[in-house]
Amino acid sequence: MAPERTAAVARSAQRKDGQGEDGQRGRFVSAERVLALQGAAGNSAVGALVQRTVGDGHDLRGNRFKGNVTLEAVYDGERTLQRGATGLPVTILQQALADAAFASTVNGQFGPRTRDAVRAFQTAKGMTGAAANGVLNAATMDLLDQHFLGHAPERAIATDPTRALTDGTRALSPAEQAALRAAVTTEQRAPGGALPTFHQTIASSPDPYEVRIRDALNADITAQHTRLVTSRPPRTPANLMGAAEIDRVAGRAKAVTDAVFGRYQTGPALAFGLNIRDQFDVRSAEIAASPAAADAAAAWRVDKLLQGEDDIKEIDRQHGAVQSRAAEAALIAPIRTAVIAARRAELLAIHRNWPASAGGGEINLQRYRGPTAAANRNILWRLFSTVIHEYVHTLEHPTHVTFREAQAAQRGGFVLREGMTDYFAKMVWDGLTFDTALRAHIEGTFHDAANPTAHPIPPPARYDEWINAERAVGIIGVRNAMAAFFLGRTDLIRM
Amino acid sequence: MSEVWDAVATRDFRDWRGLPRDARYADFDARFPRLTDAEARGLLGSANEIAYYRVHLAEGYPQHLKAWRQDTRLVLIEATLPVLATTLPELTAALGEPAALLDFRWDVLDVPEGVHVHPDRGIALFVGPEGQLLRLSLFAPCDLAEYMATRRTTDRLVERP
Repeated sequence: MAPERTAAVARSAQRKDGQGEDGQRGRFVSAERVLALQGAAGNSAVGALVQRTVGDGHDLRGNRFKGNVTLEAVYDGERTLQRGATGLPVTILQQALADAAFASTVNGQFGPRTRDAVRAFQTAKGMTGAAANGVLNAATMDLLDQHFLGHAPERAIATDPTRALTDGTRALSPAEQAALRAAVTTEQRAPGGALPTFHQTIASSPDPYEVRIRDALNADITAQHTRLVTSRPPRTPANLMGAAEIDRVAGRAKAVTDAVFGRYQTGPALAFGLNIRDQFDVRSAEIAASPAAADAAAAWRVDKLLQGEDDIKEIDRQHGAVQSRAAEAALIAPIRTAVIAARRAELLAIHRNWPASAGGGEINLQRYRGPTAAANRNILWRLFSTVIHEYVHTLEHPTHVTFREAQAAQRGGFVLREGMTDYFAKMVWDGLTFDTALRAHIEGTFHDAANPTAHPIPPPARYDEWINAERAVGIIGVRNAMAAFFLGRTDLIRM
Repeated sequence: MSEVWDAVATRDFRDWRGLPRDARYADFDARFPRLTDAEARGLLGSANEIAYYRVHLAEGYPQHLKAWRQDTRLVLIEATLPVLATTLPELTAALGEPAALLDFRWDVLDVPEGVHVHPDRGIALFVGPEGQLLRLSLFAPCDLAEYMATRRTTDRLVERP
């Protein structure tokens, strides 16, 4: 099948999924979807071609581009984008060029100005002669993709002292608003709309579904209890980080964030005892105050495992189970009740010792020290990245808070709350230079002066929704995103 | 003003009539020592009004007092798990029927209609499912709409990934 036909099949299938007209897909592309595409085309060879376009291991990496079928096809060398092209892929290209400081009108129409901007980008990247032809081809797409991986273009815009804060923002067209809406929506849609058929027993397992779920649940609780409770040191002052240590890290988190976003907004530093609290103490008090709260906490821990743990999701997949469906729910309910009762003490200990929770600019975290200097360095780096995220939360304009609170959680509310915050936090993190001075400051007494830069910095934990946020920024531009988040210009992210 | 601070200090709110509209944070700050000098910024009410808070120390408040200010005005005091001088039934009897019962969240527990709001008295009681006082909010007398828009706080934390 010709690549164009393949892309057309993919686009058609995505439209059936309720996805974007221009090949922009949601976060999840399942194996089932690929099979459905094969079936739609009536040709087993199509699957390979579709996978060549998306999910073949040769895919775009930047979320502003990744998953757009047209741009992926350009990256795969299956097509180009040039004068006369229209639609969302062109909008994304134009916005990327604009965010990368290559003058570009963002209107979804590939005209002479877009061609010139592509050519300028190509030239800036060292392409010469016929290679700098103003056509978005595989090589140029690769360079553009790489250009945004560390968020340097966005930081350059944020920190440009010569630019008024709303310069370069723009009103979104109806098509862009629709694309933004799709980008920030995280609702999962079943491929083809049909639920899988549940099989209580399957040939590959001697145990029925409910026994496997029970065993997995118990194993997961044991593993969590070992990792979060029994491996922890006694809660003596010597084994807990002190306020000064936490405040030292929090102060630097503010400083590095202000260095990027300080022109837009600054706030007070987070501090222990104020808006950084000891999760163990907080949850211990909450549980102790109310038996019903303890019951809820034990149930919460089990439900979180049932709904989110990988081994349980795999069992569901193997059995075609949907836990909310009546047949499966009837099997799970007594297991859930029995496990909560039998392992209540362990579940509450896990709850008290859960690493961190956060919201509204406040953090609850564990203060345990690790058994080694290296472990303590990791703890402090994770604290640093967490506080950057939470400090960004405190910079969110009240109008933006009101705007995103009006969106349902899975229709943009959570992406605009945690995803966008994480995207901005990542902008900060990716611009850091992990030199000796920063390492010494964060690692404190655990800094290894003999090998000052040897310690591998642990990557920050991120909400998956930061991916959606960056995809949204690819459509609306980082100027619009920052003006909305920090200045309250939510008219620039209307959707 | 001192009788207002006395009520806070003695944890007896049966005769509470609310914070004065012109209550100065500096006066509260002078009466109740700070846990830390650091100040945080947060949002109040459905209007998401910007306000700043510090944590202050007082006997009978094991989780301390969270004092919110806007400019120089003290606009809200919150206390989690306060130890009242009276029983909760004595306090609720003195306050009378609440103007509204609102939902709140305590850790991962949703407590429906647990917030007993007395906007005209400038007090809201966060009552747990077993009838215990989990949190207390003190503010200037207002109507319910103003409380919802500018004084109500939410406590919905999410677990970090």
